[in-house]
Amino acid sequence: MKLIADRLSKQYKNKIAVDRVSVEFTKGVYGLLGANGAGKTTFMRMLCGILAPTSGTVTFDGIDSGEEEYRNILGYLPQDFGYYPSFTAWDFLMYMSALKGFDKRSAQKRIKELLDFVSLSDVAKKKIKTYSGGMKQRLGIAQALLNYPKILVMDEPTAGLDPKERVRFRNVIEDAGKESIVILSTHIVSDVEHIADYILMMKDGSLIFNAPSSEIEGGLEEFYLDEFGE
Amino acid sequence: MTRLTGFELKKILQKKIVWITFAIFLVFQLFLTCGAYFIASRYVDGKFLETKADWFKTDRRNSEKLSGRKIDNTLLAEIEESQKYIPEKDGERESYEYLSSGEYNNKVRPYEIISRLVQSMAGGIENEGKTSALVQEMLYSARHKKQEIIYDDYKLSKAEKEYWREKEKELPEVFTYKYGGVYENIIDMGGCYYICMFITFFIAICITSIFTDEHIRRTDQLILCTKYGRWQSYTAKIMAGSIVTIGATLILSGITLACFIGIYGTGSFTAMVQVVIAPLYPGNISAGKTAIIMVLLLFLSSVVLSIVTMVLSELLKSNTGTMAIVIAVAFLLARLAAIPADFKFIGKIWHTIPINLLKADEGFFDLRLWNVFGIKFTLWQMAFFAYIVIGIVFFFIGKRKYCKYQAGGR
Repeated sequence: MKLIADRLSKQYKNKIAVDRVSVEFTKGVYGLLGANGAGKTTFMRMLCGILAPTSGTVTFDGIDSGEEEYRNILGYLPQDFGYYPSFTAWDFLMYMSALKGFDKRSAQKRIKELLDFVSLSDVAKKKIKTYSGGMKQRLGIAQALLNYPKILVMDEPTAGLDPKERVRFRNVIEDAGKESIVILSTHIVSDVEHIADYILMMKDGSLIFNAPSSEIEGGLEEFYLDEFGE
Repeated sequence: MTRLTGFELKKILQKKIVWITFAIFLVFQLFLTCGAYFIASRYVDGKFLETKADWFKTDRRNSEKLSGRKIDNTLLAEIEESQKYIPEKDGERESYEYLSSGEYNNKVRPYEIISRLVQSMAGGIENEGKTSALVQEMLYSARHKKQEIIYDDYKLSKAEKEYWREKEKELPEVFTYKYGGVYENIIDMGGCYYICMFITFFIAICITSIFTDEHIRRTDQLILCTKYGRWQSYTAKIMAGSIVTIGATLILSGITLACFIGIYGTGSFTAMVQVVIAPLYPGNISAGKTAIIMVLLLFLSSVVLSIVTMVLSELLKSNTGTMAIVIAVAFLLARLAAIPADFKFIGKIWHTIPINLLKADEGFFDLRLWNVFGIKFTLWQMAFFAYIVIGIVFFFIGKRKYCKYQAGGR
């Protein structure tokens, strides 16, 4: 199981958002750190195949990110997205399951599991417009996990979660990382400190650090501040 | 795909604007179809003469009585006889006294509609509302002469004129009058044309947001990185938009049809289009068939317009921009005068556009022909091919655009 980003670049007119980033991901949890505007989101979108790189490739065991087969094993939670306000959580997950190629029966079973898992079973039949920010975020996490993804990409997944939910979320990610490649971006160091097997750091579009978290001596926060010179 | 289409339909139908817009157009269509029948009355010299409902009923009864009669010397003589009771002076012909008299209602009125038809067939041989001393030979020969004038007005080529002269030969020498009933009204403005107009606005308001909503809500990121998020999702959206359009067209058409049948009766399916609505048209086609063709064109054009609109909104990434374009074009087409006959090619294209084609007096019975590899097609025949090709082309343009969409720059 190997996800390879090879010399991945993205340029917008005069601005280089991601500059020749090469990384190999295997099973485990990857914490992608960087300040706002470092290029994390652009990098993750390219990993998900929804943003074409200016140059470079993304492949998973030889499958290109543009192929349907690649999308079939991908789970993605974008940083910022809206929902269908008149849909219920159940409708939304059923819709996402249809997009992910589930048949109706297996979708229903999986959705029940996930709704329990993200503690939304009680409000599954309520319209999403009545949900709080945290509930919406949990629903987003549920849709990302729907297809048992081998690649799980989460952009700022803890935004809007309360402390209790953050702890639960970390457990989820730890579990997922045992069987899959989990890449989560954040600019909050404590989110990845305890769960990430590997730490990646981006600055001005470049990958400036890529190493197992065990190699980081002292606290991650101090290391992060040292690296970014802040 | 079916499940995806179902969810896309749900997204559309959960929007209040869809139901409100449809309800407004439904009320408009009902008003145009049968509003006058139920609420209007006829007043002459400030006095109440009859309700519109009674007026329609009387005309229908009189037409049905004459249905099946040949328009020959016998009928022409009856018409002429009836006209002896028409007063000479203009003012008297429109007076309350005359219109409420037994003479008018029993002698003149039963022949009024057929008299108007005969005058139109003769192409203007008339005398102050009277069909004076017309005999069969004069009538049909005058019709042929008028047709030749129309051919020249359209600036038809020799081959086109020959085509229509051959078609004219397929018509019987003496026409048989049959009451057109519902078919006349479907063909006429109140039927297909108004529905086409309303559906165009409905599409502009309700269907344009199918793709753009995903970009505005940023749910496109979620959709596009799923297994079926590209081609299948695109097709499901197009299908859903088309289904809603077909549904809206079906309801508007169904209600219109029900109203027309209630008011005008079914009439005769086999009535020649010449005795129902287009007296000078040289083609051999019945009113019933014409109505069915127009309804099919209405449905096809609605679906194609919905596809074009959806694709346009995806290309522009703006539903309001697309709405503005579609509404502006619809207004322009509806309000702009006809293209001069000298610009034949543009004129043919102009009249092949649905909103013009479904106007019986302009597009559908336009005599100019399309010549494709030596085969001649009327505008409505060509429209079927053109609409399907346009629909397919736009479908694939949209597919290419949607599947290659980049979720960047936010």
